[in-house]
Amino acid sequence: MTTSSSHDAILHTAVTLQDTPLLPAILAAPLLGAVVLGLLTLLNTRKTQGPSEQWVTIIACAGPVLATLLSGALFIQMLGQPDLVFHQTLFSWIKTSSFDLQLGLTLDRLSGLMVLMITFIGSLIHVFSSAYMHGDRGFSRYFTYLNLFLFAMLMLILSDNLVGLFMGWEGVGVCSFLLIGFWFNDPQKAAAGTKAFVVNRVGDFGFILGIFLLFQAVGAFDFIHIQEKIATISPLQLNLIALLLLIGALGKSAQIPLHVWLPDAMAGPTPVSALIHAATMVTAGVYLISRMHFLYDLTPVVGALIVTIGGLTALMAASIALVQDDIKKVLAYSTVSQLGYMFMGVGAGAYAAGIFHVFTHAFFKAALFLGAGAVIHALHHEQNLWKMGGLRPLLKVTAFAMGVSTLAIAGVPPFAGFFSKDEILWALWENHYYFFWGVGVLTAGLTAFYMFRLYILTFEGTRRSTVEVHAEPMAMKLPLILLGIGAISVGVLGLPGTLGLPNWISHWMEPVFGAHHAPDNAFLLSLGLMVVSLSAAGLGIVMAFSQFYKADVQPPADNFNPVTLVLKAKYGFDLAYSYGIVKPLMMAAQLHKEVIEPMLIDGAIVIGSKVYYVLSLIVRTLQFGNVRAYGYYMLIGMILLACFYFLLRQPGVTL
Amino acid sequence: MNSALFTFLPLGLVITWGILLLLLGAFLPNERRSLLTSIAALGAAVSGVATLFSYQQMLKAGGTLAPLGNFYVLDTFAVFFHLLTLFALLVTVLISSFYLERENLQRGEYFALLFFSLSGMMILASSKELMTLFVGLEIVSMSVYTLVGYQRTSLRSNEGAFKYFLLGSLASAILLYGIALMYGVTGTTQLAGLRDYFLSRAHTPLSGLAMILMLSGLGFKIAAVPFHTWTPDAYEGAPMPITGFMATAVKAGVFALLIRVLGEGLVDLRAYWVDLIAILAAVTMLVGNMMAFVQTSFKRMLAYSSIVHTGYLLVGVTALSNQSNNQAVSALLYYLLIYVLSSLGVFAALTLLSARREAHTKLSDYAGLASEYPFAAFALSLFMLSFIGVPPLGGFFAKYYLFATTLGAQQVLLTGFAILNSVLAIAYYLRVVTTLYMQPTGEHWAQQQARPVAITAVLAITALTVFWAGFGPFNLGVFPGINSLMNWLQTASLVG
Repeated sequence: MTTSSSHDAILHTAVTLQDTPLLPAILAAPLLGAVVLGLLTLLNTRKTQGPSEQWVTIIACAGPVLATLLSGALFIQMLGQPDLVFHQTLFSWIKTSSFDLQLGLTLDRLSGLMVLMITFIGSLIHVFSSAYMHGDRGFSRYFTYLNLFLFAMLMLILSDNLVGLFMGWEGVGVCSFLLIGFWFNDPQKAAAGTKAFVVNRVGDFGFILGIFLLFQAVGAFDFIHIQEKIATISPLQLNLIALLLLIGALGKSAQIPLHVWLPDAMAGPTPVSALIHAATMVTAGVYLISRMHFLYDLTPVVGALIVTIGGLTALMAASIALVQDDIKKVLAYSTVSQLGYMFMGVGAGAYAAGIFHVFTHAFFKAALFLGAGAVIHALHHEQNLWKMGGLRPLLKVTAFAMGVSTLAIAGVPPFAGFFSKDEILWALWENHYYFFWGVGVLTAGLTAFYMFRLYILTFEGTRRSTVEVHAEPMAMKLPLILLGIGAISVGVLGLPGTLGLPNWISHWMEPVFGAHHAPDNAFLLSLGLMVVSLSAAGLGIVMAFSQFYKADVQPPADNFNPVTLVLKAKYGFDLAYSYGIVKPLMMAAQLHKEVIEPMLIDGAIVIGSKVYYVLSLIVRTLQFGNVRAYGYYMLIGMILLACFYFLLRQPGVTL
Repeated sequence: MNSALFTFLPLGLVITWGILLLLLGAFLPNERRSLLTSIAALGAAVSGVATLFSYQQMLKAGGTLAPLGNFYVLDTFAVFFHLLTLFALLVTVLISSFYLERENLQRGEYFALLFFSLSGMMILASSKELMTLFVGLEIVSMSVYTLVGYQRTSLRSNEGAFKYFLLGSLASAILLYGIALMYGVTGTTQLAGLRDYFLSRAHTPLSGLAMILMLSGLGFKIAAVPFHTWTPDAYEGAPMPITGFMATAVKAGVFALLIRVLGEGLVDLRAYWVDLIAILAAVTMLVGNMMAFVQTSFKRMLAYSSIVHTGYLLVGVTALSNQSNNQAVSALLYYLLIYVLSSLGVFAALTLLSARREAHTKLSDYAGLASEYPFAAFALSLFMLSFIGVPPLGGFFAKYYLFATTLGAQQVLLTGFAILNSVLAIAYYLRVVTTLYMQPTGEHWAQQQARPVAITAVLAITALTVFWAGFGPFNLGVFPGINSLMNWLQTASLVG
């Protein structure tokens, strides 16, 4: 309890820190699962059959479920007490005379909400995966990674300092790499994993530089101390730190210009896309910015930059999604676009709104991805929208979950997405980002259009494929139903305060982000703005129905209309990176391989070693086995020593 | 018991045990000869325990026990070498039991000679008087000459022993002449007396000559180039466990003597001998590396490798000084410890693998060993990597401490050269690892099936220690850490 008292002293607000061993237990549960499953996997590598799927499923799901229960228990304790923050110091990791790096965990209202969401959705996706991955030879390896991912993600969220957060950040990156390239026998999938990893490195580079700079400025890694000393940093340095941390966030959350990895990441198994590339890991950037809100509050210029990047990303990704034919690609771009929304929110200073959108998005996007997984599973790994259609009677639960989620993401009240999206749009307007409010509304329209296109092409109309459809097993139905219910209902947590309704989530976050009261005369204005965004969504839905809701819908003929071309080329980011970075690097590497390495480096070494070898052979001839010669060597050596000694190193003495 | 008697307890035990073994060897019937091994191992262990007892008495007496004045003292420095050489003796006895049985060489004088040689080493580590030290050195040398030529029917063994004996006599003569000259100049053979003399009086050409003669004689015993020429032949001719004994215990004992003489008796003449030692070190490292590089025989390569390590240790010797906070002694002791442990492991493995009549001593004989003897191959590779100085193995920190100390002593050029030489050494050490793992397995491994427990245990213990020693500097809480050992070694400083 010594820690809590020392922390108490330095906190400005009255926060009750309470030590609890449950916090490390939340981390330990999935880690233990990962270790056990990893050992099981290793022991069975050489056998044709992996370990029993039943046992693997039980072990794999135990960790996440336990973590959910534990975090739920802690969360309930926090409900009535706004000042309560759980904390546990783990151990002193690096200790030198100049600093002592203590790893610790903390559960405040922000991390509490995130952890509850992550463990809950993570558990559902574990259950779903047990059906989706059935029969795969890598079954136990898959769950090892998945458990390990959950551990790293929880570490990221729960850490009370930037170093622990960074370790979790890297840990989720590694697991993401492993899971995208899960079917590594396919070179394309392996390459997608590598691409994700490499692009993330760019972001991580910025992130770690930011951490170093911050440490240089304040001499601490933990958030409490950083927050305490943040005002002492010079504005220039502050902006630089904010920018560098932002680069990290851009990489992890797939924002322009580091968004290119996320669509490729769909190479992984679909539940992975649901968990990592939709609900949890990709929102880490938003979490980071919210966690460092006291830094971004002081750097409005960087905030404006975040809004700009988020807005552009949202619009760009939504427009690319219009022309995608792969069900997972549409969802991937939609994720990028929604992440753009969240960035706009936190950039405008509405951290609670951003986190709220993270929360609702996690439910409906996880439902959409799992639904897509169920469809892909049912159609024997068919992902092309134009080969689906008419699936609603066959996959009723999936159609329900995806249907309500589509309504939610399109922003139709009272489904979850409407409220969180509207919070962000309101925050933009309130903070005078009128242009980006417009961008948000336009994006909302586009989102409604392409999501209904996806839904209609998948479930409505006539069947365009002849394959026999697998019904969803129970292990798929249950997560879909729960997530579907979430997509319908979690919006009530954040009813618009401007309309005089209780906004629970904003109130919940007050101890972290500070109180924010809606202006009193905003009722009409916010209602008006809502109507505008709703009509944009409605327009999108209507257009989607008019275009695709017919029996004989056909894929559009190849057209060379420039807009379509640009969209199909994804605005040329991949091409630009390929020609601007990858190819020149490859050429430089080739140059090294063909010319510099063999001639300069290898050549020099080979010549050097040859010379050394020949010299060694010469030296060896001195050792020819004659004892008398050996005796002479000794005498000569002695005389040489004496000569050296008397001639060169004998100050003031002569013979 | 009188605490003064504790001073002589380990030495007395070792000598008594040697005589006991000699007598038993003469009177035991042939078929009970294997009993000798157990008695010898017991002797080494008992002497080790006795050393610890004496150490406790020494601590009670305030850090040193010197009932005979400077002729035989017990201090931390001496205790370290007693324990180290006794451990080497124990390992040698254990691996010899297998070896002697295989080669059909079980005779009593083998173990007796080992114990006598060890008594000489204890004198080397404990005495502060030149004549006593010389006698100790001769006791060691005489026993080892005989042990090298122990395989009387083998030409190689005889050749090695004879060369060693002839050249060794020459070196002893040179050393003795140096001691005599030194006595002529200073009128004393006590190290403390020498130090007192040079504190007040100038260094003369005659005392310089005496110093050079002594250095040359000692240079022979530690196998520094150009006094090393006996090493490859003697190492190759000696029975494998004896080679190991020479590379570890004998080398450690002679270094104890060298460190005593230079670090205590002649420490105030540092300015005069430091360049000579530096030259010897540089030449020793370079020539040793070059010769090791072109060997085809594993055993000969190890002989040259031991020469190279002599070179590194000499680099460390240049850092000895009369400053009270001098780290050189502890760095040298730590290096010797790691070197001795790794070498013991290597020679244990080679004893096991070399086959009858030592048929397999060429490196190429060990191709693909890993598939037949995975543990021995792994341990051998670990030792090679430790010799190279790959972190986190013990060899890395041994080198690190040693070179950090010499850098602190302003020996920048020499330290740089030593680091360069550690790079050159990678060539032949890594060749061993690649041979063990990356070449097709030789057919002769299929027939060899002996896997004696004693050798496996020695391998496991040495490998584990070399591995664990690397984690020492990190205070991980779980590991007791080498830190406490290093702190203990610090107390072995010679001048306070």
